[in-house]
Amino acid sequence: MSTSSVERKGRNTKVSEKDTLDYLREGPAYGPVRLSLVSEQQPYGQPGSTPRGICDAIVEMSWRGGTARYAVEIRTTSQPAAVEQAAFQAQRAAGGLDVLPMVFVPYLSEEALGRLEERNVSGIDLCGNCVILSPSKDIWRSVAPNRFRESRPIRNPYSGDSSIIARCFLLRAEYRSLTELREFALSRTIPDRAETEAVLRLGTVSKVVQALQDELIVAKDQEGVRLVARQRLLDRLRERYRPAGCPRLVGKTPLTPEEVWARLAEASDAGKIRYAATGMASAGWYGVLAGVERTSMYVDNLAAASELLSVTEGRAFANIELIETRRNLAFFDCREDGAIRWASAIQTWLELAQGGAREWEAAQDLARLCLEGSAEETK
Amino acid sequence: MSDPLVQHLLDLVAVAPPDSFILAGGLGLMLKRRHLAHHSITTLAQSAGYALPEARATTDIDLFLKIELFTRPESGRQLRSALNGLHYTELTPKWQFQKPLSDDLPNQSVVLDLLARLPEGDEDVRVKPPRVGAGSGADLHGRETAEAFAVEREPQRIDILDEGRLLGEVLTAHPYAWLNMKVRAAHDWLRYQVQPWELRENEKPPSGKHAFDAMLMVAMITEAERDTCVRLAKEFRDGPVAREIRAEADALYGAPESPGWIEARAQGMFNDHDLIWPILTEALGADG
Repeated sequence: MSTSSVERKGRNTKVSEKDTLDYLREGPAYGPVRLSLVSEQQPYGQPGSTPRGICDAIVEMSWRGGTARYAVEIRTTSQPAAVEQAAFQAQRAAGGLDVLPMVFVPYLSEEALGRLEERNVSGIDLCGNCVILSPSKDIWRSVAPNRFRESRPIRNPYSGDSSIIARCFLLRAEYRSLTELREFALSRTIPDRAETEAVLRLGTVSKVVQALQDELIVAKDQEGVRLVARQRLLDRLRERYRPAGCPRLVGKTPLTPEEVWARLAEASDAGKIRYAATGMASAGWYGVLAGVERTSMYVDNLAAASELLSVTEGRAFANIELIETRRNLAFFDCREDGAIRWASAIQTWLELAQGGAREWEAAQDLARLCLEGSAEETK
Repeated sequence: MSDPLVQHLLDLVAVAPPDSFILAGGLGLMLKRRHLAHHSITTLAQSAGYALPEARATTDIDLFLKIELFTRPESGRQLRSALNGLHYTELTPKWQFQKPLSDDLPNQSVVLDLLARLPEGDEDVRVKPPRVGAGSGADLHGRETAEAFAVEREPQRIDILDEGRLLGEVLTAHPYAWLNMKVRAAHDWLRYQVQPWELRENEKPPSGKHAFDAMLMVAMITEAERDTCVRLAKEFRDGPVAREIRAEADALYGAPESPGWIEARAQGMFNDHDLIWPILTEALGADG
């Protein structure tokens, strides 16, 4: 691809529709495929009647001595929902103009290229990626890194406290409103003296849901908001899970596990400490991994917990691990078993999925047992 | 049965007077490792998140004869008769025996080394270096092993397992006793590297495997064993051999760049000197 006006503007610049048209005017090339702009704002529909729509551009593709024309739908965002919508409109316009459909966005990921190819829609982007289908069904495809990272309403809805909202959809697939979703999230989180409510504000919930909508994971309408792609949500949570780099203490407590939990429960009831077992330590409780002997838990105050449990630091014959986190995530959807608070099935699954072969296998078992939903949700 | 060495040990256990010997050496380590794994016993290594390194046996079986075999020689004679019955032949008179390892491996031998600690106090057992029990009438001797001073203290009964099947039981040395012996053997290896000496007939040069085995032994220590090691180390603290061995441990393993630690690492020990060294020093005790 030659140096274009958009390239000259620099990386990660916000792209406008004018930029993309300028780019097409310059006649970009994708490997052996060259494109040239034929017309802009092309109406389509029955001749003599009111147009059914206006297509953003018509381009001509030359490849191997042949040519073909495409109705191009342009979007200035690369979100899956935007690509999906552009593909639909391009197909409509292409039908009306008797040409082939094409979408043009700043960046097409491998996954997006694959989805377009499945729909028989061509796609090009500003980074040099393309999937171009010729009239004879020849395909030219190229892959390049994203140079136009978009600012999103929320940086990573699958990690940190904002992922509580995403995780809620694995526990219940449908909510009548964002308020109901927020209340569900709060009701499932061990509170931290009003801090939890401050973190999970309605604005945050709205941003996370918007991000999930953009990724076609949830759908929102007048009826409410519902999960539409459970497997994709599971994949995203697993791919983007980042264990927090928290202070931790490994050591020895003279207390029995029962005494440990009882002391913590008492301190928790008095509002002094939040605690929950780590996912790894909870795997045995879910029946998917045996032999995890060390009591490992999240606490929100390492010094207080260490003193409460008389922990002496040291790795030799350690029987306890305390990990300090103030994230609400560690205390979301815990399963209470007397004084013991086990991690949620989702947290357990995520931690196992980061481990070795044995843990990975346990994660698969847990996903099958607890997380994978009905067939229509598992798209 | 996949391991002919284990079968030879089982044969011995079956015909020897009960608890007349204590198993040590590479076979002992291998069986102890299997025992720990089979019973899911948490060791130092596992408490810190490591898998136990593999133990490798040789074709030797090291047996420490209890001193009572020489003070009550009829049980010694019974053991000798058992060895004869199992068709062992003498490699070195009265304390080293051999027989073919298996029908499939007629050119390889299993070598049985009989060893013994030095007698203490009022134990009336003659030592004619390198033989313990010479002239006792037991028809067996033990090769004198000064570093085995604690070998008869709190020996441990472990399962003999092969491919997960329980086939029998045998006494092994307590980790305190075993560590002292292994550190001394590793130090012999180190000395031999620096200044080789003339070997006796049928004596093999000291192997670097001992440097690994001593570290494996520390990695295999359980918390309860560590506590008994501390107690035994206190009891034997002023013994001259125990004192020498503590200095030898320091020379071998005192720092990550020490020769014993480097050798152990080269043979598959996990890389955590900070975990192993403090437990080794605790287990061997400190100078008072």
